[in-house]
Amino acid sequence: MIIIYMLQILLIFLSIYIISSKNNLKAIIFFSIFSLVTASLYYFLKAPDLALAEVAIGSAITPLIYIIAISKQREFLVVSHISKRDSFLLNTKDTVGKGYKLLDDFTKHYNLKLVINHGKYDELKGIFRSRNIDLVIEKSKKNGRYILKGKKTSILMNKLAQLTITDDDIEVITIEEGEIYD
Amino acid sequence: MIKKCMLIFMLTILLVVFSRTSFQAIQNIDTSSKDYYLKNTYSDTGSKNIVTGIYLDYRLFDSIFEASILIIAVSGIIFMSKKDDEVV
Amino acid sequence: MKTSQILICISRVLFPFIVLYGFYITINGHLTPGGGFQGGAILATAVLLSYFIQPEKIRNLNLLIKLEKYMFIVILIVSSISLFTRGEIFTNFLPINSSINLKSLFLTILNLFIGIKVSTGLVLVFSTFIEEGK
Repeated sequence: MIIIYMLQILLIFLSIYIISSKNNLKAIIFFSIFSLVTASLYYFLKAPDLALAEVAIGSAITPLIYIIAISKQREFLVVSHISKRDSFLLNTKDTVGKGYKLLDDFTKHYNLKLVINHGKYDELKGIFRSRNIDLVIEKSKKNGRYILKGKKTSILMNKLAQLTITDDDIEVITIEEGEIYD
Repeated sequence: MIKKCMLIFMLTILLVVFSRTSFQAIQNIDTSSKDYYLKNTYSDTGSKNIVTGIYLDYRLFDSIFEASILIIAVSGIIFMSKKDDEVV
Repeated sequence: MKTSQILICISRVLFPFIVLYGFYITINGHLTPGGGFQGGAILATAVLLSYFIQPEKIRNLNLLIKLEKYMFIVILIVSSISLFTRGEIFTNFLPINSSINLKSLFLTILNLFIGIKVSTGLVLVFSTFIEEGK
């Protein structure tokens, strides 16, 4: 009987920790532990049917879905409108383009995952929401400079602008939220 | 500060009311349905596990709609994950 | 994302046992704790483990969607046969004075169908999430 009270008190502490934790991954792992403790509590209170369902769903499938959702959050999505033969974004064995190196260093510094998409951003739309694009790369027809467009509210854009202030080829433009890229 | 005090006040009132009602509910429980299921489930449905007997025989109407909830959720998730041009 | 070699090894050892346990829970639902929903959830976790073994393997999602839809229709049909044999809907289709062993046949069939339906539903949920997360 005393083990039931111990587990109930443990549940309260676990839930307080889950709410107050700043790290997403830690919160998910503790959510999984929470489900395991709940399942053992169900077992001690003579409901083994519920314990089986709780172990399978609460501690395996739900944390997986959460982990996929937060891994989506750490992407840096780049859409490029320049041609594929251009050496700016090239990444092969022999040559690594200047822009690719810049973006790679930048995203590695902030622990993000770099995803580069060639072509139109229309293809990246879901049915209810457009995909959240971080950066659009274009080539200016007048003077041949590369233009990096991004949202004004993003802090990363300010850092990128400071990083490339000495570079003559690259120009960083920030756009207000809600405007359409064109 | 006032908000937090009000919140704690409300939570304590909720705790007191809940614990009082739960202790009162333990004293007078109606056990007639429990006795009926303990006595008749095995002969009625052929199930030694009374939970399955209730889930799949006495209350089959409820469990069918419970199964339909999952199919609605899955179809919603698949619909949202499709791209614009894939949905006809 | 690269999966660790230890995790792949352990998953390969555990996979058949989890499938066996899931079917045991599903089919023995009327004798031991468990049933269709619990067994289906355990089968879905087995498929989740197989994603660790072969992450690049593309599964045919349309087949699973069809399977789940037809399973739901089959469950509806099986549970409403009793309208013609007993005269009341949504109960056992065997006559009321048949033996107890024969009556549990209905529970086994329905548990198996519900197990397949729940496991395909859960597999669909997280495989669409995994496809989206790539």
